[in-house]
Order: sequence, then C-alpha cells, then structure tokens
Amino acid sequence: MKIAIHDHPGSFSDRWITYCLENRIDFKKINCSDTDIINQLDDCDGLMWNWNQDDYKAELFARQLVRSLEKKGIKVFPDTNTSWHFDDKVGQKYLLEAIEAPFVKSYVFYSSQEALNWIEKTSFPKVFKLRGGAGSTNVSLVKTKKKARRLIKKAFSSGFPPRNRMSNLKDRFGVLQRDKNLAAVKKIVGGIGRLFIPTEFERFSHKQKGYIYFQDFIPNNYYDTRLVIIGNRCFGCRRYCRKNDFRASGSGLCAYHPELFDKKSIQYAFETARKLKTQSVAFDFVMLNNEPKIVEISYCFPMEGASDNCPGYWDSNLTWHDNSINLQSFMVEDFINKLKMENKTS
Amino acid sequence: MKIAIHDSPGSFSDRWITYCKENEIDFKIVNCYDSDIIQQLDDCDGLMWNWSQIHYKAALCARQLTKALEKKGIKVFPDTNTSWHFDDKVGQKYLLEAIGAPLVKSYVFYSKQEAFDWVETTSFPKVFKLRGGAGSINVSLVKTKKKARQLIKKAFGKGFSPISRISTLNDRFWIWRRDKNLEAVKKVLGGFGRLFIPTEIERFSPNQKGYIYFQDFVPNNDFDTRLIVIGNRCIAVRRYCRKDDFRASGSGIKAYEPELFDRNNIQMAFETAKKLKSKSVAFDFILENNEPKIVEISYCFVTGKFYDDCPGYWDSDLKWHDEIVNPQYFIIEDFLTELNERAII
Repeated sequence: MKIAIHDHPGSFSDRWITYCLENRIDFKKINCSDTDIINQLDDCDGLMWNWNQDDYKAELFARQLVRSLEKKGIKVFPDTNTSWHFDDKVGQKYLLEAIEAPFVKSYVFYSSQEALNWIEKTSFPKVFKLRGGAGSTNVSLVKTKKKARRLIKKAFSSGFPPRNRMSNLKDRFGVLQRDKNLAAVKKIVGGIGRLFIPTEFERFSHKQKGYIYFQDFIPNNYYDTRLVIIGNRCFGCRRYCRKNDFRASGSGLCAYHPELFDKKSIQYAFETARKLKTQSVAFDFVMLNNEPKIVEISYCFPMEGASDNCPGYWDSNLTWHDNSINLQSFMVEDFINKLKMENKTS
Repeated sequence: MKIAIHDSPGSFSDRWITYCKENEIDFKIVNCYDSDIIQQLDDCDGLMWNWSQIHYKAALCARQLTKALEKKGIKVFPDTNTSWHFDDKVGQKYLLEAIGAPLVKSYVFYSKQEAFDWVETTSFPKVFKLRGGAGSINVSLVKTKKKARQLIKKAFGKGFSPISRISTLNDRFWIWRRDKNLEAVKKVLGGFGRLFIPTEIERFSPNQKGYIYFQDFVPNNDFDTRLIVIGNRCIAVRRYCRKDDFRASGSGIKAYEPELFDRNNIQMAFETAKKLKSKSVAFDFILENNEPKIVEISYCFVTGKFYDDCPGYWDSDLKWHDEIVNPQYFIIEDFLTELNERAII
C-alpha cells in the first residue's frame, strides 16, 4: 500500500509526512497541479492534499481532480463528501437544509429584484456574507434596509473582491490591541502595504457577483462553539467574539475546558458529520433559544494554536478522553486504516 | 410520484412539460433559484433542470443544489455523475484520463513557468481552449511557440473573456455566408452590437485566468462524429468542419445516414457512458490513426431539428432502431422509469 501526499509546507502535509516517516508508511510526494497527475498516481492507493481557500489554483481544479480520482478507485483526503461544500456558504445552505441539520436560517438570491423584494418583508439586522472566506473575512452585520439595498446593488453590478483589504487591516488592528507584540505590528505594516499591492490570490480570484447571501443574526452569543469531528472523535474550542463585534471566528480568544461544552452540540456534531459522511468537519455553533445551530462548516482549519490546545476529545458515546491532540495525525491514521480495511476486503 | 421541472423556455423543459401533460405525469413548475427551493421540493421525488453554459446563474449554484438534493434522496436530472464535468474541459481531462477513456491528449498548467517550459519541449500546432464554451467558441489553433507564449502570458495576466466577441462575430459571418438569409444578416448585426454591449453572461462571468489548457491537434479530420448516449440508445450526427477551419462543432453542416458511423465508435461511446454513469452524454469523436478519440463531452445539446432529424438510434447491442428520435423524451422516459423502479423497491 502506498499513498501520495501533495507537499505544501505550512499545511497539514507537514504532519502527514512526519506521521508516515514515523510509522513507516510508504508514501511519495507529488504536485497535484502537474498536468500528468492522474498517471503519476497509477502506483498509489490514496492521495492526501490539504487545499484551502487561500490557494487560488486549488479552486480551479481540486474538486474536479478529487472526483476523477475517486472514479479511478483512488481514495482521497479530503474526499468529495468532505470537501465539495468547502469555503462555499451557498453550497452549505443547500446541503444543511437538505439533510435537515440544525442550521441558522440563510437566504440566497440570484437576482437583484428578488433580493430587493425580500428585504421589504424581512427584519433586520441580518448577517451579510460572501460564499467564501475564512476567519470572518467577508462577513458583516447589516442593520438597516438601506445598507442591505446598497449591498444588493453592488452584488449585481461591480461585485465584491474576494478579500476585503480594509476589513483585513481592521482585523489586524484588533490583533495588535489583543496581543500588543512586534508580530502584530509587522502584520499592520503588511496590511497597509496590501491596501495597494494585491496578493497573488487577489490577482487570480474573481469578483463575487451575481448572487447575494444573508443569514439570520442571532443575538446574545458572545462566543461560538467550534467542534471538529474526525472519525469517532470530537474536539471542542470555545471562541469568544472580538470586543464590540459579533464575530467569533478569527478572534483568537479561545477556551478549551471540557465543561464549557454543551453535550447536545457534540451530539448534533456527530450526527451531522455522519449524515454528511465527512472524513473531517469543523462546525461553528451558536445558540438560538438554547438550541445549538450551525453557522457554517469547513473540512480544514489552522494547524497550530487552537486545535493543538484541546486537552482531549469526546468519542461518539460522548465519553471524554484525556489525550494529547494532533488532528492531522488522526486524519492520516483514519485514512491509512480505511485503506488497509479496503485492501483486506478486496 | 411527483416531479418538479425548472421551466426555462427554449430549453429541454419545454418538451419535458409537454411529455408530462401528454402522459398525465404529476409535476410542478419550480424556480431553482428560489431561496427556499429545498423546502419547495419536499413533496417531490425528482427534479429536472436543463441548465447550460448560457445560464450564468446556474454556474453559481446548479452543481451544489444537485449534490444537496441527492443527499436528501431526491433524484435529479442531470445528476452529479452526468453534470459535474459539464462545460469544463479541465475536469473532463482528469475524468477521462482517470477512467482510461480514449481522450485526445490534453495538457493543463496552473503556472506560467511550467507552461513556458512545456512549450519548449512540445510540438505545434496545438489547440488552445478555455475550459468553458460551446459550439467551438473559445477554441483556436496555435501554430507557433510564439503564439502559445502570447496566450500563456494572457492566461496568467488579465485572462480571457469567457466569450470572445470577435470570434462570435466571425462565426456569424460564416453562418451568413453558409445560409445567405435574413436571419443570418440579423445575427451579424447583433454580433456588431455585441462588440460594444456585453451580454448578461459576460457581465456576470469572470475572466478565465490562472490556468491554460491545450489539446493535441489531430490533422486530417474533415468532420467529427457526435454520438449521444441516453440510457440504452445512441444517436449519431456527423458534423463537417467549416470551410478552411479545423472546427466542426457549431458548423451546422451535417449528415445522419447510419452507414456513416463506425460500430467500434458506437461501442466505445456506450462503454464510456457506462463508466461515467451518465444519464445523457454527447461525445465529440475524431479519428487519430484510424482510432476514435474523444475531444470533449457534454450532457446537453441543442433542442430541435438538429437531433430530431436523426433517422433512428442504436441500442447497446448495436442494433439499429428506425424510430422517431426525441432526445428530451428519451431523457424524461428514463428518469420516470428509474423513479418508478425506486418506488417499487
């Protein structure tokens, strides 16, 4: 048995490679953007590739490559069930509604007239989001009809850049206020530079237009609950909102103590992951009338920090395991085990 | 049993609706772009939606909606297997290579340097294509390294408009020369107008950039063979190239006589459709050293005379059936049969 790993330093692949070396798993490093990638994988049983929203190239072909490899009988992480809805809140709206998951009510419109009609009969505030973007980028609170109308006009004319430079800079100021260190200052300087010089991502990503997406605003949530399900394990992280802000994702203000987490949310997370058939999924939950509701989902997340600090995990019987955590090792472990099982049965 | 049909006049839905009325099939009309479409389909077993490359809105949501509905247990035409690679030559390259189908050799690069390096080692001419576009728009012959380098620079610079206005106008001139009628004149005038006024598709579709796609040029093909496999039927059209042009798709010059079509080719179409698990797939075949090779695939195609004029079809035993061809009826017939079978199980 042999697997291929798309080696991208700084991504999950670092730890996958370490795991393979430590556990003597036969693997080879490949570059998924090679034109002959399908042939290169002829001698492999599986492929692991941690692509994310910052990789504009992956956006062009990752889903297509994954589906094709699945047709070839090659197992992939993330597979189609795990990744097709990644960084796509519109896709997630359809999917979570379809499987009747507890989802914060969301709305999508593909014509300005329909969107304008809707704002006349809905209530405010609402949360405006672009379909893509992590860490609360491209998310804002819309308090009035007037502001909603302005956003609709923009969505159906010039559109929105996939990265909001100004909001990015503001977030960096938030980090400076929180951390008060040299790294945060450097980030501010970088953010000011980025007001004028687009990143490679911006140059190759296109404007978001032709649709508009809103989500109900759920008040009185001073934190959200991020639960990550990998196989039979659930990891929890409570993320507090930024000061004077309704957004928790990306704030970096985290707590991990197991008592902080509501068992119902953990149960919902396991159930939903099972319905989705995902290999790895992170849920962001908020509370609506004491009921946990999903805001969005994602198969991947930042590697260091939050996820490493969890003091253990729950299994699907909701039993707590006081273990050290390495989410990326769990992913590759599950992946290899599944491959071994399939090899045995075939 | 009840189905939903997304009604888009001029698309397959016209005939699907007629079929339902003629055969007393319970159906309702839906708009797949409605925000509450998932709930609207609560009382339905299936959804039929003929979206295509001219519907920019569908590019934003059709694949996602289809995937979600499949999770809900609602049958969809086109389903994911049939449609995920539609209007996406890059996706088709991976897929057809993965299933070992006879695809004309294709190349895709996601960095300027890798594409430049390849230009130095390959031979010309090659065919340049954008991943999307029907009827040979966004397709051109690249005869020299220099031209290839120019295209690569553009692909990794400002990119290509999803619709080439000049090439559309050229095609309309060609139709005018072919048909010499008032309709063609109107189209040429429209094409002139479109040089200055973008269509809605152009306004809402992003420039194509960040990748470049080439395909081997296979000479000595004065026509291509379009084979459409819908379930157990294969219909065929030979499409001749435009004069002094290597492109057949969109030429409108055609022939249907069953003797024109090679049985191996039809066999290959059935086999590939089976591997793809597609409910409807049109293959464009050309010949390379007497071997049929696929240029591209598509789940949908024009409605009307073009395929209605086929004098019959082959079944998967390659037996010819001298019957009236109505591809849209074939599609809905198969869809309802599968739904009925599912209901029995």
